[in-house]
Amino acid sequence: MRKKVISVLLAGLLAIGLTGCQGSGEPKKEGPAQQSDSSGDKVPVKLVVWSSGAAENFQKGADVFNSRQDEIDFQVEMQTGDYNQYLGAKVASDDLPDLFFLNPYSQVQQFAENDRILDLSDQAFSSKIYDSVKDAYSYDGKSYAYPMCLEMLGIYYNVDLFEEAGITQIPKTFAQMEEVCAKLKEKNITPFAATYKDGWTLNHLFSCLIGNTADDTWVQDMNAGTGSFKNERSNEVFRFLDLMKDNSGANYMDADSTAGFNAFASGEAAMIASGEFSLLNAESVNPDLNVGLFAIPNTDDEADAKLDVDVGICIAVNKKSSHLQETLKVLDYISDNTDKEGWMHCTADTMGAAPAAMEFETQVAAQYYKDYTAYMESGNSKPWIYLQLPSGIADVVGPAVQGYFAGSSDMEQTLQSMDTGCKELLE
Amino acid sequence: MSDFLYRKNKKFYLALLLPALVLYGGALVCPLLFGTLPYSFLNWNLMKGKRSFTGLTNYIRLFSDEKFIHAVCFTILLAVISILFSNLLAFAVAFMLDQNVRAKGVIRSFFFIPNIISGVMVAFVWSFIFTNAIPNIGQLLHIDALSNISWFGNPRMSMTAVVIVTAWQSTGFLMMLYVAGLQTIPKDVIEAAMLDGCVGLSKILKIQLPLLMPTVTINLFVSIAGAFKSFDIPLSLTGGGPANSTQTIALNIYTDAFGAYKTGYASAKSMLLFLIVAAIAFFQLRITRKREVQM
Repeated sequence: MRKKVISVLLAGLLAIGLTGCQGSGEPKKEGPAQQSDSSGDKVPVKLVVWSSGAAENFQKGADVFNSRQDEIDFQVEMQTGDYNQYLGAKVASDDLPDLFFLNPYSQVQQFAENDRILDLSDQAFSSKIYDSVKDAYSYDGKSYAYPMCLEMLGIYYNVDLFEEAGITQIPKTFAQMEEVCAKLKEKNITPFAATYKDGWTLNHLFSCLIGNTADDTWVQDMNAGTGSFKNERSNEVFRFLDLMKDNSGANYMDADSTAGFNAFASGEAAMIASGEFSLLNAESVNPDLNVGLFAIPNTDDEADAKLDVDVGICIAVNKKSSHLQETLKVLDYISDNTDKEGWMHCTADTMGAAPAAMEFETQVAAQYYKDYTAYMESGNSKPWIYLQLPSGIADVVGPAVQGYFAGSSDMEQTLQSMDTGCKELLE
Repeated sequence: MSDFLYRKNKKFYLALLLPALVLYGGALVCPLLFGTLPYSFLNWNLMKGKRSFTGLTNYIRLFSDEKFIHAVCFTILLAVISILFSNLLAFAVAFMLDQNVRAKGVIRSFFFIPNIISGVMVAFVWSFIFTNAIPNIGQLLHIDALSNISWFGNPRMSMTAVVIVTAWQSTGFLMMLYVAGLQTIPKDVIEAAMLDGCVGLSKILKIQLPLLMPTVTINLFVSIAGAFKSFDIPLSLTGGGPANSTQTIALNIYTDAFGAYKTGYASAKSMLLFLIVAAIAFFQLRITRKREVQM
């Protein structure tokens, strides 16, 4: 009898052991963090960021903060997988981190509408942010996030390679753009660095292109469910896609964003249609890289080519954070533009870093930054249009354009699948 | 005798089963019955937080959802090809290793290694092989056809890439089971067959394979279930692209549930996936059980 009891207990132990194995990953991770809590009595405040080349800069910013005080342990955690899916899982388990990145506009509005993030209207940063970007993080007239930086989408070009090909003028119309590609090809230089294995890069590109051709009420119509991606100027969008297909080298669908960024930085291609974030690792690949920037020209009218500048990252505060006060202190540090050695210096003051959405003296001297400033000063900028469409549109547009690039759908089918996907999101 | 023993110890046997059963029930059966199943009848967007009962609407929508139907077709294709491919390969390797080969153990573990590496790692390694190693080898050998293959450039090649990597990873595990199965076949049966002139292919087909049926059952079961749950390799190798062409059912459910936050709809998809896998497993167990040779 005793034997039996023992064996039943052992069977139970074995079963428990199995679950122990499954969960072993997490407790190990938390171990050291808890130890540091008890030793220094620090309150941990976690900022979760999406995966990018800027992670190192964020960590530097956190280290500066941690070295200045003993009260709070500011941790930056990068999510390497799909960030939206991470957020979805965290919302499902009601376990959002203290601070986390959100996309501006619809995502901030969505989280605010569902009462998951804190109203930050009375925070110190509110009065300092550029007026032109306030819509990006507002909902119902209140500020629900801190716009950490401005990002600019356009075509980044290698100034030296352009000179080598004898290009003196940056292209402002589609015809000029075609000329540039032809001149580069003549010199055996690949015009565009491909990034098309990653669907999101194509969503960015498409957003710029359609933004150049859409009329003023288009965004409203799309959100009301009455608009369409297709209009009489669609061919101006797709001829640019065709141009990129023809000028991105061989096997262009095999290159993901990392491969594309590296190809551009090392001078294998003369241009890349992307954001300033594509240059983050450029200095480590090629310290002498000389980069300029121009707006994507896909129409025949020079005035259409506007640079896509918008809030790239919003930082939201979890309403249910267990240590709200400390979290707001961290946010104060992050949004302090008088701190010459703090967060902004670490994150916004290097090659490829996105500039702050408020006045802050930077030391970046690259050509692309001067070009960006020129566009801003002349008012030649427009917002990122996809951010104002229903949340989740990136997962519709990216794969659809990818299908066009891979040759599995034509213009009609591509536009059709975008319209269907958009309608589904509105349901 | 065994019947008598069974009756006498019935409670003890059940008690032995209980701990595992409780865990299985708590972690799998309960969430399915009390979570996924009821959710699948709701129109529930996770972010909006509003829930409303919609009856079978979610299930009806499934049949007109092109993306989902494509995902089902792709999953079945992936399952059929990779199961055939990996089982044939695994059996062949296992058969070779059952002979008198030098350094058997080492070779066996080499074949098993892919199985212990995580799917994400496997995908990254293969991604490098496809986009860097193969084109470079092609250039070195001046074989343009090899270096010009765009592995992720169109749906067909992407599917091929996913099938190759899936089969590559699953072969090792299946091989181990086949090796174990081959070793349980009594040597005297084989010897008797050989004395009677049954050698070569007919020895494999008429003696070894029938005696191996229990292993074949397990292997098919393992690989079918694996193929239908296929997730990590397509996600990290192609991300479902280009244009969602390599999206498996599991990946489609995941993007819907955590990308578009359609919890109710994704639950309905999960239920369908569960029913498909359950049905396949049920029929397969019945069919292969009959063919097993009693020893």
